[in-house]
Amino acid sequence: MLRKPLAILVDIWFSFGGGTHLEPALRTVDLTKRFGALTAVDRVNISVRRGEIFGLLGPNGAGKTTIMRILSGILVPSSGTAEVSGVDVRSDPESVKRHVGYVSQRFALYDELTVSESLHFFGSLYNVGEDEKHRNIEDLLTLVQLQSEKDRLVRNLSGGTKQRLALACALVHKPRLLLLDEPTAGVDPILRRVFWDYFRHLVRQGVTVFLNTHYMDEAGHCDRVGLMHQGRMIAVGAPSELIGESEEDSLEDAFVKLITGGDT
Amino acid sequence: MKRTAALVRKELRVLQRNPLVLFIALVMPAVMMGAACLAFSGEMKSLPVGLVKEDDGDLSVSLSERIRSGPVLRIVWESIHYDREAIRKILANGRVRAVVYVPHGFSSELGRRLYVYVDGTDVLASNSVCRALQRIAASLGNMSSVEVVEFSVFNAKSTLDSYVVPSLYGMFLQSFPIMMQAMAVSVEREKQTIEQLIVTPARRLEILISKLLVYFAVGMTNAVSMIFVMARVFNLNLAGNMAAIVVVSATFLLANLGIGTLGSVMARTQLQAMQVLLPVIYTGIFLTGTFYPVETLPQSIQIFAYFLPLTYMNHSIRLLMKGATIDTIIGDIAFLAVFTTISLVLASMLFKKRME
Repeated sequence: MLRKPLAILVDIWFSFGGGTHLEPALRTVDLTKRFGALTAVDRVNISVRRGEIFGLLGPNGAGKTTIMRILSGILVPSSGTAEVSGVDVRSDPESVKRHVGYVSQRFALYDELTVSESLHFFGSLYNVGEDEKHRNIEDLLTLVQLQSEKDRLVRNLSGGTKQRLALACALVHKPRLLLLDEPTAGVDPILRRVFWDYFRHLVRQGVTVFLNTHYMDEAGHCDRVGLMHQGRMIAVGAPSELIGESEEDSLEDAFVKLITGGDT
Repeated sequence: MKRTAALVRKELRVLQRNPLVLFIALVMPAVMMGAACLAFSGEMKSLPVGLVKEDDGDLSVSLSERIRSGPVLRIVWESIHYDREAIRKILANGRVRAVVYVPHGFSSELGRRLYVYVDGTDVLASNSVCRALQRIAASLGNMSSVEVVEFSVFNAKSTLDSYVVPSLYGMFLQSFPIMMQAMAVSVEREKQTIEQLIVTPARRLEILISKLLVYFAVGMTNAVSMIFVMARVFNLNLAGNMAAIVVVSATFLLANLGIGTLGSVMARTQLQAMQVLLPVIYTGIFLTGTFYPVETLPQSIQIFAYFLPLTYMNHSIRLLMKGATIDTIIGDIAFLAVFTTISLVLASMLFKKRME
């Protein structure tokens, strides 16, 4: 309930620091990506405010991960534009990468490094200054509750602990935009809740969270969701709005109705 | 039984869906065998030799005719005056494998002697030259026999060590670094850690070069320890040219790391990288003068040799062991440097394409 007002407050707070916040944290205009004959992303328009949690929903193959990869600067769009904090991903991917933290679906860590070494490694790749890096790492270890594990080798960590470390690694350079590709896939229900607490904490600090998931129940945690199907964005709105408009009981039913046009 | 059959079918399917691996597994052994046979079988051909002919009698004329018409020796340098320094020089710069000396009065004397100055660091070629000359001498069919007297200019004892050990040096300095580099790059793709690297501002070339630097350090440690073994255990004469050996080894090592990088970006997994690179390593061993001089291979096969770094390494180290200075191998070093640059640029371009 408090999330939306909080996001607005954050926006107001940032407005005192300068004008750049006024542009959306992330915006795509007619974003299209083709792989040969396949159109993975088809003229998608998204605009996400700073401090918002935006969720992309859709079945596998809907084009969610492709959008993530374009926004992270590793994939060039076929046509249309994608901007992160007003910077075009096509013309300046290096600058975009500095402002984005990306946790991929299969985030793989180096088994041979310790928790703390992993964080230092990613901090250095982003050229974070030594003092700042140490501060950030201390904060992150506290946030994801890995303080006591910091000298353990990654290979000895449990799956859930690795996932928490992966998130911390993507945050070590204090990105403005956090891209999470199915962040809670394969995560047990308790840890999933913990993850959502982290995301809300980050949003309170002015970070924008853009994630994709196919857990419909999770979408309820987002400020807004975009429903994707076969590369197209078929609906965007707050989860409650989407449910209301569809006259269904749940987001899942609303989604099915939108795809099938009600012929279930 | 049914289970085993199912497992076999699955394994065959997996092979079938990896055409590159299947091609290498089915075709390469026969091709490699052909290459090895070309390299090892029969008598060497067209070995470049020099001829110093002071005598112009009938016997020496027929001797030189027989040398020219035979398949083993090819006269590339001739003189009518014996000059010890000149002989030493053309042997040192590798222009010839041996120099045949026909002294004054060869045709008229009774106890005839034919001298042959061989490059003692190249035992296999030297032996071939001497055997060929002995056959020619015997075929002259004169009343009195001709004695062939052999002098080894470098490596007076003509031990096999001085030929085989430098070959092994090049061979190991090729094989291990190629494999180590290839594994290091492809393991990142196999474990998908690469995805997390490329979303950072780290550039692709930086990622590749960081690995190259580490394995360069490992490779140079290998090089130094092998040089130590060559010098101390086998007592090979390297000391005068240590700096040149280190320089050529370093550029050779970089070229191999370039091959390893290129192979690994073409492969999806460590296993594939290994399968792609094994043929390159084997070809390198058989066709690059490691055991058998490149210039005696058939022309069509020689072309492959000139694209492989090991050819230039073998060429350089053999010259250096005969006392050549670094300026004589500058061409080899330049080739290796260009090879390294091209392979890394290609690898980096391919890497970018593959990550999309």
